[in-house]
Amino acid sequence: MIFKFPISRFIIRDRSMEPYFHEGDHVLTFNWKKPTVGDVIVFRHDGLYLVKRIKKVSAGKYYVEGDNRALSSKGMWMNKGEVTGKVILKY
Amino acid sequence: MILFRFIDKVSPPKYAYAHCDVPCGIYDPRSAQIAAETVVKMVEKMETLPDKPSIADRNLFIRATLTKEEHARKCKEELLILWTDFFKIEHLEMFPKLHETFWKAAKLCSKNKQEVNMEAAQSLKKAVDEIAQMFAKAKAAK
Repeated sequence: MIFKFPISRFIIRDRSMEPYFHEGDHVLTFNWKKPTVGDVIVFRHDGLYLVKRIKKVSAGKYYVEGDNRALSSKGMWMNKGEVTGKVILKY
Repeated sequence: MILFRFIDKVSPPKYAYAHCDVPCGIYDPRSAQIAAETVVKMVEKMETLPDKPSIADRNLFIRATLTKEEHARKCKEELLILWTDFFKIEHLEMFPKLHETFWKAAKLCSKNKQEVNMEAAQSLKKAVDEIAQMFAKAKAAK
């Protein structure tokens, strides 16, 4: 079993999570609790860390979208195993 | 907070991309496939309703119609993103019928909005699966 550190730090890039998160915000994730619908999560996809909000959960996958619908027109399905953690703090 | 900022200066955090529509190389045909599968499921439900529907049946029919409409629209939207943002001119050599495949799939999205037609729904699913295969081959070739 691979050890997962309980917290991680990230800097937000892009504007698709506005108004809650802006370009340059520093955020902390908690990685030991399973996230649920409504949570903002950081996950790894195709070699990049992405930050999105969970809209739906189905069969081992999360459907995630950006909050800024004007800039982020599409959501995506991702695997639960790709989740790094839930964003718990902006600092 | 100050402590975390100090730690960030010593050990810089990674970037987490909020992923706007600036091309950042992140695409997935799975959303289009799920939308096409949903269209098939809704047509299935609509075709199995009785000849003399109850109020509950009619309610189900209306909801299935709305869901079919929404997912056929979503399928078209997802296909458009893959067609215009992911696939590049060099992919035409790998897939000479790329434009025709996408055009036909987009037409099937419209047909499935207009009709309750299992053949059209299955054709849409097949077309989207074909696009997903092209996507996988194009990604593997990168």
